[in-house]
Amino acid sequence: MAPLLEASDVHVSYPVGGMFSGRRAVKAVNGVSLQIERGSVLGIVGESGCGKSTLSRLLIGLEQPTSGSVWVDGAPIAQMTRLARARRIQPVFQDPYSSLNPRRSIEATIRQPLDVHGIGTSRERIAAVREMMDLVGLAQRHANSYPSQLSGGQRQRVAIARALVIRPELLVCDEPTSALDVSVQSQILNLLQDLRAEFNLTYVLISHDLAIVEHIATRVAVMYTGKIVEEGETSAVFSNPLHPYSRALLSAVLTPEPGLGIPETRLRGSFPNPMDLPPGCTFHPRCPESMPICMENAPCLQNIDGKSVSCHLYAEQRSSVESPRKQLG
Amino acid sequence: MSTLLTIEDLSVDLPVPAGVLRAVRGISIEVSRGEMLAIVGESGCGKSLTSLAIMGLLPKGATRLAAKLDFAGIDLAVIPDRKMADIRGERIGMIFQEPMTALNPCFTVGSQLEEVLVRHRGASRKQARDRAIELLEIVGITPAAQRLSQFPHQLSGGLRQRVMIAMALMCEPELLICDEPTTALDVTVQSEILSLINRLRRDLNMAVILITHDLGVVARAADRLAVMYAGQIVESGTVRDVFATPLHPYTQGLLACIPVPGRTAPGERLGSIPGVVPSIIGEARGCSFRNRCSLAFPACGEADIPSMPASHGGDFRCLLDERDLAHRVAAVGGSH
Amino acid sequence: MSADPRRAGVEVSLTSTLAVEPTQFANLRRRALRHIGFMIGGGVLVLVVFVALFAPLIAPEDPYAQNLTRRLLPPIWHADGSWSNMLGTDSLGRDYLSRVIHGVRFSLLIGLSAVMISAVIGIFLGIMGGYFGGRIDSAVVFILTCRLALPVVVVALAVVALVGPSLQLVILVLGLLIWDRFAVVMRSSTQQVRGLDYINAARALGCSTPRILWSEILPIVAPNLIVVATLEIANAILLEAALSFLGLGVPPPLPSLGLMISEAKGLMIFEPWVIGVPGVVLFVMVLAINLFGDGVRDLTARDRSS
Repeated sequence: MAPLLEASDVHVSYPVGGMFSGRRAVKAVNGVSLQIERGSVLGIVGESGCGKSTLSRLLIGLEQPTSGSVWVDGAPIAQMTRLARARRIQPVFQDPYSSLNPRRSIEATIRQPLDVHGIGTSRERIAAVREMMDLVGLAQRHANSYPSQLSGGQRQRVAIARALVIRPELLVCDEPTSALDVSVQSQILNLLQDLRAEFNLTYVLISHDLAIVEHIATRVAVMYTGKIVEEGETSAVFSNPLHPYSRALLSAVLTPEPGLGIPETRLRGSFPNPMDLPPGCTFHPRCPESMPICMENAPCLQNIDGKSVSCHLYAEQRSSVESPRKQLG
Repeated sequence: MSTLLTIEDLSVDLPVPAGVLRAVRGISIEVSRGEMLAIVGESGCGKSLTSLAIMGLLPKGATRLAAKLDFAGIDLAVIPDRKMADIRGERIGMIFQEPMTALNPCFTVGSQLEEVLVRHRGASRKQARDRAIELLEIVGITPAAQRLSQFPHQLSGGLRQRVMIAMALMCEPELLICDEPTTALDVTVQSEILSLINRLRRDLNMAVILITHDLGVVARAADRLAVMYAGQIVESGTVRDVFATPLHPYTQGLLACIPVPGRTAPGERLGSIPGVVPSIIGEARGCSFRNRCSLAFPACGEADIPSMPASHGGDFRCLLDERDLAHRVAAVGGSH
Repeated sequence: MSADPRRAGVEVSLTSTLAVEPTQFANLRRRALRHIGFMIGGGVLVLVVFVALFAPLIAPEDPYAQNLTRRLLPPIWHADGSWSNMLGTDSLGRDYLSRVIHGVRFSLLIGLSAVMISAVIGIFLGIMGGYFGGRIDSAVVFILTCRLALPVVVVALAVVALVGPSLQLVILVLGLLIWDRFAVVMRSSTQQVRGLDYINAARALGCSTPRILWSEILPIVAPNLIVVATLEIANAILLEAALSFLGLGVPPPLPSLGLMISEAKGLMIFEPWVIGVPGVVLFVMVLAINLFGDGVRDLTARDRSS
């Protein structure tokens, strides 16, 4: 069976610059290939500017790839109609204050997808909305409320209900809890977990909070400058990160354990300018283990211990495996 | 360690359309030189207003009441605004969450840094410039001399936050108040900024008040913490003690909400606190957490809850017995 | 913690400590009643609209009926004024009160119709430029700049002088010329909401672009447009009066306030009320519309800030 979603060598770039400065392209997503199996949760982590949000916008149809292609269930997404794509992939955004139309009541907000897709009679739609409100834990008395009358957590529940009312298969959650308070955050995470089991959903979870990703995701992809530098099972990536950037990122997580102190990240410099990426491996100027080859050649993703890693450090292992074959040739 | 800042019974009232919002209700804290106190709480708990009240920067219309507001022997409650303005920036530095709001976009980084020293110390431009370069190097901005002529918008978020820190440190303040200093930053930058603050604290024997909602930051960076809820401190103590045996049901709930790698199994249900943080408008009686508390009983709503000393030296504000509360943590912790 | 995790989101209300928020409508009504400019402007406007709607019933006489035997009768407050012609008569002996009442009707008709045309043009251009950005926006800005380079009165004068004055032409010319503020306001407010996540959510839902523009963006920016519309009605009324005064607005014998002022200008020295009455009516009407518009802006602005 084909994976639910598959991306192959996807690039997204924006032209920037005006009349006088000369047009250049910002490469937001720079050759991403990934597969999302049905029922899995893919966590995408990385620092701001790494392209994870552009990738999520690509999946929900807000961006078009400049090259490369995305397939849903083996069918190219470019040939799907707007509505057909929406039926399968729905988003949950970060900020529940801006993701709901302030002039639309809660009931109308959750019913909108049914209206747009022409599902059911008006009575069935209302029943579906009521059922959805129950499922996400919203009291029925909020049906006629407006978003401004709800708390952040309740609004995020409305956003989740709106996304799920047309029963999509893939939910793209871009920082679904980072605008919420700690105590509300866990309510929403628990809800997402419950709904996943109930509707057999697949999630793409984009978050800067690595503890949440580790908690929920079944697979993790680490992104840097628009590329996936490491991808694999969550436990494998978190327990033994291979790429120097993954290592730095994971070591910088501040778990709530007193006495451990603040970790040193050993990263030099700062995130590169996306308009002027370094040659070779884009991470080499900051990498504590950079080698001469890193400045010249960009590494490719390769399979190491069930994970995909894009780093020259592990090229030796493969070349040592490959060398006998070369001798034969 | 000598006590630098003593606050007793600080209250802040804010007029809102619906009445008077009792944003801070009688909090008492003490900070010693070289110590980092974290004030933890969710949005709306009054933690940011507490810091603004210390700085004398409350929004218009807000009233501040305190039994004692003592900073190194100076009574901040009574000194005139002009004197307070001198203390701000020179003896008390402040770092905000969003550095762009504190940096003027129209002036270069250098001129804004130099201005602090010229204003407070009457230093010459040359001296101020040397000090600015020195500080930018300390906070890890290189090449410092060139950065001085840049404008805030030309810097990344992490660099701006460093400039903010450098600015707050220009006069070597005795107290640094950091309001969510790393919330807008990436994790790798976050730990760099926190270790920078910690290093400077040690080198300058500076007291730091860290205001945050991030329990991870508190656990790793602070010495002591005060948990705020609805304008009150519901629990305080050393970070080690409070994280090991949280007593107040709110603190317990908060700690159960966050996944801890190794302790919470992947995909496991997280603890949660039902409901939302209330805003206390007008007179309130009883425990403000009682409507979200699974242990609440009728007496919780009847009288104000006094702060009780805990055996580990901290305080907690709950009617229940310390041993019962501590026992409950053990029970909750055991289920993980 | 709680037995049913789904219930966790249902908040419990704190007895007595939480103040009950008044509903949005009650809040708005309370603020509206306190806003003096809004109340005065709105009050006068209600009166003006009532008079305009029922002009044929209210007006005591036919505004076109000439009676040369009773030319330039003085109004009631004069020593020899009479109740039969409360505001006197004009130089052709027509009842001035009836002419003013019908003049208000024409002013409002012209103002509303011209603004409707300009609103359609301005909203369309503004929303297109604001939502799509890029080249479409550049084109919109170019058209807008061209329009702003045209002096409204001079162009209107030239067109009317070429084609000949008529009511329809005045409405059309004004409507085609005063859409700039609609376009500017619409463009900037669309730009503000365009990037919001609920627009993204609608797009991800598969909503078509016209649907997003119509049901997601327009309702949000409508309050700003109401303000612009009221101010532009006042503007259109004044422009019509100016054109009519110059003799290139609505043709006589239509009872336009501008035309009445123009006809009275020769009599200004000896019969000042002939110019004073339509002048004051025009002034009060435009002032009321402007006060009302400012009031709407204040009320909606505070509504959004709260």
